[in-house]
Amino acid sequence: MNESWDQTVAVAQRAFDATVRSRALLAVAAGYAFVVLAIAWTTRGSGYLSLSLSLLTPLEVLVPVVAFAVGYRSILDDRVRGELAVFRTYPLSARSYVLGVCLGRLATVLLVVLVPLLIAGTTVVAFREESISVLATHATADSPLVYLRTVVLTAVFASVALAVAIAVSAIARTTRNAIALGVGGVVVLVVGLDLGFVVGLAGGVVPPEALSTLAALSPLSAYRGLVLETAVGPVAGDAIAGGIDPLAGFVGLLSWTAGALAVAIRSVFRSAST
Amino acid sequence: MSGEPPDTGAESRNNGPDSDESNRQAVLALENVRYAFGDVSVLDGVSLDVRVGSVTCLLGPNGSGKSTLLSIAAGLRTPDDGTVTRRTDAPREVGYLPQRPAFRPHFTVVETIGFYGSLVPTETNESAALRQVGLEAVADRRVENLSGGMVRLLGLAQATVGTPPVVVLDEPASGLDPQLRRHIADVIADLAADGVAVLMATHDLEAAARIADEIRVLDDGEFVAGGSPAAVAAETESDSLEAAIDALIDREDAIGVRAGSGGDRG
Repeated sequence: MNESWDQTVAVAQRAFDATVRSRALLAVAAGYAFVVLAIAWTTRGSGYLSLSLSLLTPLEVLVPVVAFAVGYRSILDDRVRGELAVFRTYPLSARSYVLGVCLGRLATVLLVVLVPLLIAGTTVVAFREESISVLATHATADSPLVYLRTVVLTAVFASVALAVAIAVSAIARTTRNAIALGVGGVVVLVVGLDLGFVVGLAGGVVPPEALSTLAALSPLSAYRGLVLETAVGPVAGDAIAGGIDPLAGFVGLLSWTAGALAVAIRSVFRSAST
Repeated sequence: MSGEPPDTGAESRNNGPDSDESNRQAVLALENVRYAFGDVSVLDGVSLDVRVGSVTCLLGPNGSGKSTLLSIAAGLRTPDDGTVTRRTDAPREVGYLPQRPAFRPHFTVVETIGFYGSLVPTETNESAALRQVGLEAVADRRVENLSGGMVRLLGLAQATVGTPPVVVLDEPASGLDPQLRRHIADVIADLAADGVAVLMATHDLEAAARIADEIRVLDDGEFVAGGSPAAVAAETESDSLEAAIDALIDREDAIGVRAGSGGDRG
């Protein structure tokens, strides 16, 4: 492994350790887990498909909130303490630093987001004898694969939200600044872009045939569309298909992640006084 | 006024013909450096050589431009004009201690130094780094449980990670008790004895008089005096460095922040 990668790993380890030692993040994780497990409990025995659909809308809101809670201070804290300025006297590139922060915080986000989802998935097995799916009425259709795909796509969505949160953290100069940008980021991710498309559609600015492509530009629409198209759709049929081109959806999510990290790398050591 | 110290003809360790100081290699050189925050000029054509194995102290009132000069020397700011030359091929060219060092509070002292050590390609001996500043007894203590002085010492240990040939220290002993100030001055003198070029800003005139090979008095963005502590005192016909600084700097400026100054201009 080269020196740059070793530095990235060191920064990632530090970023991960910092989050798992934070009591505030422990509270966020507990709150998230409580909601997910409560939903799983209320839908217990309904099968993987039903669980996926029940969790989808809450996850659209909760995952960005968790990602921003984990990521919005990730770089800002180093800046406020003056450690960013000190880092600049080391042979540490902005890319290695941001990538390390991203990997470390991503490990935390995935731990927080996925563990409750996996536990929630076990409720389907635990209450299998009661399992009667409303949307898919036989066991072969209601496969664990449906839920697994939902979980994987949720991990991808969490990565996008975290990358945006890290970009916010790299741009912000004060905590207040970061909170304002963070809240703005969550609102844009959760409702802003989708609302814009709806308004555009209603006003005739966005033609209906362009909607499936435009939806890929919104991380939330892309996530929802991909879950419905690739996880739920194949089992439940066209009735609840996501209305999105899966390839465009993946490209959209990837572009948001890459774009946000590029902004973070460009901004992090930019200020003269950091 | 020129950024160079005025030539008073006073005998100086730094400028005398037999001086060790003048024979030492300048590992960091600033030449005719200018810097402004918007319309406010902070450094006006400042030149300075920082030599191997020597301690160079920047003295001057708050707002005179010390911190700005240090941040330029550390590579954190780019001067508006002039050049900064570092004659080294070390992986970490400059070590830096900010005025108010801070670290992740939930990490221990040894974890903190270990992390910084992982950022340089050379092997870092955490125990030796902590022993050097006298923190080995609290190696397993969390940063949040350290006193302000201990955090400063941890910052000093951090500044030496990767054995940079130049270490830039921004008021390393400000706000500390006399015993800790002396300890920090001793650590800095040891660094210089090991061949490190130290450039530091300080208001601790006692420490400057004791450990500085060269002092530079900065006032309103220009050097108004320079040389060994004894030479500066002689230059002003003063019997102490403190009296010399009083003579060099307008008293009203010396006790307050210069009009129009802001931030960490120092």
